[in-house]
Amino acid sequence: TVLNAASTADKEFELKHPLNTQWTLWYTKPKVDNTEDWSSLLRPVTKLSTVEEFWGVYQSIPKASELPLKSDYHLFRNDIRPEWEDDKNAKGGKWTFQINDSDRALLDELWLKVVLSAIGETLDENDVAINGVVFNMRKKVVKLAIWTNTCDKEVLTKIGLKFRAIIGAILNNKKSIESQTEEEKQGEKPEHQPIE
Amino acid sequence: MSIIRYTEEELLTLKPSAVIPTGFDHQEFSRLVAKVTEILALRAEEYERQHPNGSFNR
Ligand SMILES: [Zn+2]
Ligand SMILES: [Zn+2]
Repeated sequence: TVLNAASTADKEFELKHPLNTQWTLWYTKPKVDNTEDWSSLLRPVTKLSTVEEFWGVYQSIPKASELPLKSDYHLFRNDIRPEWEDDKNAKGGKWTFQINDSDRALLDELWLKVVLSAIGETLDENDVAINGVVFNMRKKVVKLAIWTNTCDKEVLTKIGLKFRAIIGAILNNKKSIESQTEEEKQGEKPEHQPIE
Repeated sequence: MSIIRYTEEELLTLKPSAVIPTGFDHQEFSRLVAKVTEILALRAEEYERQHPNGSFNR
């Protein structure tokens, strides 16, 4: 009946969980032919507005670990382009984390947690300071990064500590499983690169 | 305006309700990635054939 159909539609609407802002997933395709320039390599894949859509995209695209070399995933807020030239990025900063070869098995988990903390808006405590998150698949170094809209030291420090905590939780968990001794590994500290 | 936040647990709870955004052709995207992967693999193979003592894979 009509009544039933209406209540089903209501229920579906109710079940959607809006994200704080819309996000755009971008992909950088590796160059496979000399006629391609940078602008044709970086392309928007899809936009997402709800938690449900995030999972739909996440589950239907290749995992980060499955990307060919020199590929990137970028998840950026609204229409911010994943480039420093974008006004929203120009005065911002970034935190980068390099995944060691020995931790490559964990890269999908690391990327997912960083993405979830971005779309869940749990990386920053006050205003929205995250512009986007980036995954770079490279032969020698795999990198995760968080781009911010500010260079404010206090804001950046808090975000850096959260970033490190997310990564640390996964890596320490692995270490305790393997009962390895705790050691500071080179390259496991996020590094702030100001863009001045 | 208040910020809409979700903890990791809240987000994970919604995983079974996944929907593909309207208009997103995920198969087309996956085909693109697969094609690039294939081209790069063929190229690496070819390089190795031409440089038997090379160091493409270190
Ligand atoms: Zn809910
Ligand atoms: Zn800075």
